Amino acid sequence: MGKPRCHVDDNLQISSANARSGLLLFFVYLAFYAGFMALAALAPQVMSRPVLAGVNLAIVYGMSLIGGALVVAAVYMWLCGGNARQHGHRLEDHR
Amino acid sequence: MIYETSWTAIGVFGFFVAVVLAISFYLGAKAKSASGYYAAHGQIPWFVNGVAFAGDYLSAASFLGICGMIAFYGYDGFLYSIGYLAGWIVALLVIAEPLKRLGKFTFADALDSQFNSRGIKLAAAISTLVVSVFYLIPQMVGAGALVKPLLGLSHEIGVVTVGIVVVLIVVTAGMVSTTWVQFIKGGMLVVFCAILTAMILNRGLSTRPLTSGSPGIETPSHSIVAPTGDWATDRGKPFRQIEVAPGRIVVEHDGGTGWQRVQWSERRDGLLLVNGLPHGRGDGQADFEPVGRIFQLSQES
Repeated sequence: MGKPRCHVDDNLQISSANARSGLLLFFVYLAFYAGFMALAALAPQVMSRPVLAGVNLAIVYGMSLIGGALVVAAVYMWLCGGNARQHGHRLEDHR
Repeated sequence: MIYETSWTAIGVFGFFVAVVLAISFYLGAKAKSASGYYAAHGQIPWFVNGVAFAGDYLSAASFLGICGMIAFYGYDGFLYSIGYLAGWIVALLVIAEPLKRLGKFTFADALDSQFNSRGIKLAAAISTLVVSVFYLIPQMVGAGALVKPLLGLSHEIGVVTVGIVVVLIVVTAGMVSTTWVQFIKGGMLVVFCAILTAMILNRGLSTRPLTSGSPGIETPSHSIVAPTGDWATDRGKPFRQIEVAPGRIVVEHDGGTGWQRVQWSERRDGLLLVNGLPHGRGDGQADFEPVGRIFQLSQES
């Protein structure tokens, strides 16, 4: 096992920035997921319409939710990296 | 089914358990602090942690359970796999960072440090125990069910053995060994699944639906029944009735791609017949298959 790669995420500012980014992405995903649930509950006939290569909306939307979770995770990682760089510079100045 | 005890399989199982326990005890000796026990000293390399996470999510429940649910319940089973990922997003985006910032290792500790309330601590403890129990019971039953065909041991021995091994691994070294065990499991699952997928795809894919002429369909000596009653008046429609066994009639439909078996029901003398057999789930009874295709829905009067 290697030693820990970086300690910057112990910084409170980075941590709060990460939490904010996380919440923002959470609400984005929540809206996407709520759309799926609303369609399934209120307009199931829309779900049965073929939208992509003969595959119906229910499967396409469901698969997008699964793929979307991975995309959201990647975006979160990228945002956290940005937060660390932004606040990391300030940290250097204080040292 | 009767399974024979396989000493080779038990040997391989024992070898893996011994290796994992050895790693666990070795790493356990190094865990001296709470952060070592709960958070693996924060020293797990990112790749190992990632594969361990994948191993977590490829558990028996998702791996076998969701495959089985999709096979038996179709789209309803698929919904569960979406729920899994949605839950993971909540843990990643909402729970993980604040928990880390508070320097706590369990959700109950984090709540306690924020609110300092005995009621909240009690509620968190009870909910943790309830969720764990309901999560562990199917896992243990699944382990017992797997041990039976794989090793030929009885169900009870499977449950107890797996329970003891899991408790030993977690208690000895906490998160360090748990993560490494999940890494090994996740890695093995991904590799062997890839091999299995390649082997299955190697057999080729076919999208042609099974017709009554294909092998495997129970119409060796079928005979087409002459249409009578309502069937006679529907003569123009591409349906035919086939007697597959004395008194058992199935219906086939030609939608332009050849004759295909369809599901049907009929009320005869007040008795509901489904696919030519009395409606029910016992022997000599039939129920609608949850997976299939529907050509038409009509309201039964």
